[in-house]
Amino acid sequence: MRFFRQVGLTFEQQQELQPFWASTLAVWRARRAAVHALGAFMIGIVLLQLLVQVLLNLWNRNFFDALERRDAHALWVQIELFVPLAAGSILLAATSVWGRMTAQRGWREALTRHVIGRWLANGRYARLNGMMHGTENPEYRIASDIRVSTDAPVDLALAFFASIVTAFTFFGVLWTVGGSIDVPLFGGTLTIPGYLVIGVILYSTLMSGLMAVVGHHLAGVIERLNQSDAELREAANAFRGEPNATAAEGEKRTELSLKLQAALLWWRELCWQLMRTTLISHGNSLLAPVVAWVLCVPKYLSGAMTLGELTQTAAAFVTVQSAFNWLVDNYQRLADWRSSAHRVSTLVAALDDLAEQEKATPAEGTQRS
Amino acid sequence: MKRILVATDGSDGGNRALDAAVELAAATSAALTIVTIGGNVTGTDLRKLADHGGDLSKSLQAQADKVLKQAAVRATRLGQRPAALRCEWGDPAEAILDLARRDKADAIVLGRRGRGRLSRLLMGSVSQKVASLAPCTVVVVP
Repeated sequence: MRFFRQVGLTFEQQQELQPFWASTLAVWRARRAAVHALGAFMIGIVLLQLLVQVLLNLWNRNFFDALERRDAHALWVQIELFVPLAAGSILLAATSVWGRMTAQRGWREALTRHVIGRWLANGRYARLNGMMHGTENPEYRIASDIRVSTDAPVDLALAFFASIVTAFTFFGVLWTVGGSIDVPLFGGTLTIPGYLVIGVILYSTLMSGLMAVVGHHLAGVIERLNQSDAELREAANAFRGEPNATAAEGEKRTELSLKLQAALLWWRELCWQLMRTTLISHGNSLLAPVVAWVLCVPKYLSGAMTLGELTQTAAAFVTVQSAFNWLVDNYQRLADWRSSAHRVSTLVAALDDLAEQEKATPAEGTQRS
Repeated sequence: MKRILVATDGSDGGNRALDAAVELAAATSAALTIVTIGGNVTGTDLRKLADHGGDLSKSLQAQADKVLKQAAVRATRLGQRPAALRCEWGDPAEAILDLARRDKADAIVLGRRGRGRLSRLLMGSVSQKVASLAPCTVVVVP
């Protein structure tokens, strides 16, 4: 459970991200119509992609059934059908990239302009520079952290939505095509309805559980590495400007070496964590199709399932299993997003504080403008 | 001999090197600089820090300060108050050589104890590297 807690957000972390979401909502409200239109467009693309995926799954069945019957005419029909399906799939994939990146670019642009506007107002950039803890490297936060914090949610949200609808749709395929299986038990027969649905749930739970055990430190390590990288940049930034006295420069040099050492140690740990999780994820990518085939083979051998149905259900099994892996596949990006959104939040919170101070002492703010 | 640099990590080997350096400094009336190379942290410690949100830099600094403090107490007890305590980071051999050049050390004293067998095979022994590249006398204490 620690793994899920690490990937998820505690109440305190949600509070820390509040400035990020408040700024995001402010820029979204200003572009309400465009946000709604693009959101609806992307949901439509995901649903169309799902439709094509289902049609390809059916095509898979029909193609292999024709192959099993050695029916040349039916095979040609399937080959002709494949062309528009493949073209549709390719076109939708390209359109999806356009939609996602347009949404990301729009969000990034709006949020960056919003933060830059507040950063430059009343000479706040000068007062912020190294004065407030947690706001070091504002340039980097504006240029890079805003990009990461607006890129990832679009991809993650769409992938999550796609996973949910895909899993439920292909549950249907597994339930109807896979059907039930009769298992001989104590001289009688036990009928398991929708046994492939049960199989995919058990298999996915096992794989997710293994990943949770093996990779439960990963999210924390990624977050620490990101933080260390930010501190390394800060230590390197300290060398900007005129050369200092030798003693001060020596201290800075030591600080830079220390931060580099910390970043490298986290990198080493990330390497070990990724090696461990790769054992599971790569093992899963090899095992999942085989498990699907093994589960379907008894029905195929008994004649209750055609070759086409066998390939269709095996493909559906792998599709559902992949959809279940959304969290496991994306926790590295989630951790990256959490770090970047946190850094943007601290910058926005500091700018809010400065704006409050300016309200309290308006003369000072005006003089600096 | 005016300046002696001794490297220690607080281990038995490091302590033996420190004892030898104190003896050498006393015999030659040289100033003693004690250096430790920080960053020796296990994966278990890192995972604990990752889970509980600890600050690795502070932890590394505290660990290095502790080693230096213990070494200073030991040297003083043996009759030689160290002229300087230094903490460096990064590759141990490179860091020791760099400091020896900057401080114009006349001798470097260090223990033979290296990393694990695999690390030694991949990266070489610290004492071997220092001995072959140092611009001054190197004493490797067994």
